[in-house]
Amino acid sequence: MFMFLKKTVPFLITLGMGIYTFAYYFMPHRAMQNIWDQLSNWAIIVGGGSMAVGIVSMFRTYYKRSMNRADPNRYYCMITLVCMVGMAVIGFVTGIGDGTLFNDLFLNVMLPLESTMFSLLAFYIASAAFRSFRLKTFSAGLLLFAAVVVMLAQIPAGENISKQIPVIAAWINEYPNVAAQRAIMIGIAIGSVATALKIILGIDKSVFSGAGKV
Amino acid sequence: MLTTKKLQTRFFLLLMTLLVVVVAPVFAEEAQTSSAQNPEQAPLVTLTPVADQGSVLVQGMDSENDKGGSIDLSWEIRDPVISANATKIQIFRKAESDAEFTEVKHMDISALKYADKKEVQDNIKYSYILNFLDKDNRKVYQSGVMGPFVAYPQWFNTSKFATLFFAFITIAIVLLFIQLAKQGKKFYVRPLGGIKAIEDAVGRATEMGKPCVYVPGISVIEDIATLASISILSKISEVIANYQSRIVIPNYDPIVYSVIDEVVKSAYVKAGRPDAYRSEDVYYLTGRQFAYASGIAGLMAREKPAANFFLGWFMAESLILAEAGSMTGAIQIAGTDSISQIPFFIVACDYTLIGEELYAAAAYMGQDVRLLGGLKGQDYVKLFLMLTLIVLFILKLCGVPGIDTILVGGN
Repeated sequence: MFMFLKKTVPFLITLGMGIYTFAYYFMPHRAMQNIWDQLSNWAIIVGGGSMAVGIVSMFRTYYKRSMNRADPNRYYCMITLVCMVGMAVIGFVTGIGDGTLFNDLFLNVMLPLESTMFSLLAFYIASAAFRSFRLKTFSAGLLLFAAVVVMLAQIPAGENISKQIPVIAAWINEYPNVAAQRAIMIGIAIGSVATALKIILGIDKSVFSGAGKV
Repeated sequence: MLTTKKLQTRFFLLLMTLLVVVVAPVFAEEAQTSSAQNPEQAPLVTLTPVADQGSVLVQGMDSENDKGGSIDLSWEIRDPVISANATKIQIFRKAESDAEFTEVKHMDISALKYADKKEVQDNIKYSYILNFLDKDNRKVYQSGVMGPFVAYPQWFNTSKFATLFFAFITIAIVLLFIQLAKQGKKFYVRPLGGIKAIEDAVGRATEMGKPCVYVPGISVIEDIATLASISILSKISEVIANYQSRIVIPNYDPIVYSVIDEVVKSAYVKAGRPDAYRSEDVYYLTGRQFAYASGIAGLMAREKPAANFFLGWFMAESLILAEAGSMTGAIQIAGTDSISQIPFFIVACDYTLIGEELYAAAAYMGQDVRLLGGLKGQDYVKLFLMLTLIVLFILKLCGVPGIDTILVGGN
């Protein structure tokens, strides 16, 4: 009975949903659309409920770490917990609309912090570029050449050096680059179909709580 | 007894036959369509019912390939006086049971068609009148009553026929190879460096007494990349449990977290070490992209993991994660089907599973012959597609009409 609920029921639901979703793509009829709309509503409800599960998980994990006196990093966990609970309380008390403290904290603390993380990307790109553009092999040399040409084409100096630089950069972007990307995309598309098929038909059951037979 | 060579020969013959069967009718249809589109060669194709008012030709029909509740109207102004003076079009509609016409749409004269979806019900007869107005809202021309037109839903979207056909071909080939694998046929699959490195990385972490960090990406559970990542994780978790090592898995999506929690727990049970499972190591971190990146970067800086796995679907946070991990000196294995992020992982990680390799990884790691058969099937689907593209390319060079439509596909 345990295995039936743990493996067979999820498999049957997946099989049913997989067949329905496949059919829905090709069948525009209102009956199919109505079922889809209903399922979408269920997905929203399940998503909302799962957030509660996530919050409980996060709270439990960080609480355990905060209480672990042997962990030198436990203060970070405490800060996280205080911020999470603090924001929730402020949200409940003041509301979350425009001009509320919750909204001000979100706009003036959370968003700048996220922007800061995003801006770090520029430095990480420079660091990654430095590593990858080192002229060690022929392939690395090609990469270096392509990168230099494309970067030069992005700035006015490139065109001043040679009128051909933007032309070569455009060619690199439009032909070798697009060809490689499309080859990967075709592989991904076929791989997606095969993977979906294996999951829908229960050939790969590892996503139904664990690999193989437990 | 079929030998490999015989099997391959038969398979190629089957593919080429299918190719001819699918391509020939499509070309015939395309050739007819292209000749019909040439007004000098073909008679005017009229849709029924048609209301020809002389000055304005109006056509109406049920909208094609839809869920119902829609009628397509189109018109062609033939009288230059109307073209010169009219600036607006009013569309009036009357259902069979209504007493009089009511306005449903007011459009600029430049519009040549209108899909009426405004409270249109299926299987009800509707009639229309078009009014052409000048800039002072004076009536320049009024069409006669057109119709009745009836809306009804379609069960099959005919514009997706080619997609359905190729989907069936793909499914048939994959299932065929899975069946062959089940019957004991041995297939060669190209080894991937990144797969072998996964076990080495876990072994390294065990020797160093440090944890592994596993990042399943920032997509939702229905994403194939996330499902493939969970599949790989189930195998990695078994290795981790057997080696008595530790894995930390911060999650971005709460549903993905719930599934991963179960999968990892089951892997520990399967390895016979349910007591070693630490629930606090599999947790939901946040649903904000850069907060997630920042949380994992902090985790890697503090825990100094021996191995980092970034397997799933990623966006701009990929390089932040990979560079932060690289700075800690951990061995890094990444895999994604997000094309824009693949270059970042390639430059910042030790091993990268590119695109479909992510989907194939779990099959490589396990002993299930059916999954390996599926992989081989994928390769043959690719071969089939390559041959199809080459044939279509040659036909295009030969000037056969309609190739572009086949290559670009339906909507």
